[in-house]
Amino acid sequence: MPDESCPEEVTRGVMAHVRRDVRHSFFNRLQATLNWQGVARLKPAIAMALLLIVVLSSVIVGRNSPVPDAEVAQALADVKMALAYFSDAGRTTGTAVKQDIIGPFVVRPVSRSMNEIIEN
Amino acid sequence: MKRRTKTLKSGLAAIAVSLLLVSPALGQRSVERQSGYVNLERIGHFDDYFERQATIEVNVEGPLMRLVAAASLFEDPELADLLLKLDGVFVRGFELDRSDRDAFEESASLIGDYLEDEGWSVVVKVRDRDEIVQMYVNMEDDTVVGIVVMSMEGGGEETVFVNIVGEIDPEQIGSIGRKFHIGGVRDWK
Repeated sequence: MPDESCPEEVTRGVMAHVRRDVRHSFFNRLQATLNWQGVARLKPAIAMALLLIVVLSSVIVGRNSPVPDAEVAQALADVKMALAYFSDAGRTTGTAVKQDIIGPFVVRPVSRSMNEIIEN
Repeated sequence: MKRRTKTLKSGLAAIAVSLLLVSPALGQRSVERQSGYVNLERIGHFDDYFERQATIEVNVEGPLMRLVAAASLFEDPELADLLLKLDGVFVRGFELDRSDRDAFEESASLIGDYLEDEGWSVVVKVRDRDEIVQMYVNMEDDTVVGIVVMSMEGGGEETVFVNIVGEIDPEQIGSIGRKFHIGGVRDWK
């Protein structure tokens, strides 16, 4: 009996149907997996883990900034000096400040803070 | 339907948390636009009053300020906490001849007048034979948002202008600042 080849359009139709079935079953399985009670319970943890990864990545990217460590160290030293100048200005001028300045001009919270700086 | 609502809620919550994390970066304004910032150089006409170039020129702001805060996190958490609230630290320092004392006084006077016109409060104004110190603060709703310190020490041989910008707790800066050693302008290089 001679072999008869299946017509081209029939083959294409069958293959398309099979592919649709395979795709459909893959999504069904994936959905079933995601809806599984155990995974559902893990969703918040997975979300937090993803968030953590995003945050850590941004920190790591931030660390690889173009600012060299030496420049950061120098900036830190400069900032410390500026803070020290502020503190020193309050301390070394304490007596004069108490006599002349802290009065009606100074808003209460500032004068309180300044007094504490001066007293120390 | 219920599941979709729940998923939507979870998604919105995740977006809200992400925004919260990145908000410091998004919400950051240019430091020059903040009410605590003072362009000391321009207002004090430094180019006109000081013949020499500044021996100290510090501009720590923006990403560098955050890196500085991060760098001090392990060594000094209290300092890191303070720095995270600051937006900028700007310093100009000059070595002077004794005869240049007038230059400082005139420049500082220009800055002081400007600050008072802008509503800043004078906190310290001391005039001594060997020392002049002026300190101004700018406040918004009981919070200090800017500090300017202008000081001339060493009998008029060195002068420093400092502007600290950000949410400032003077008490915290005072207690932290005491820990650091101040040399003179010559040491600050």
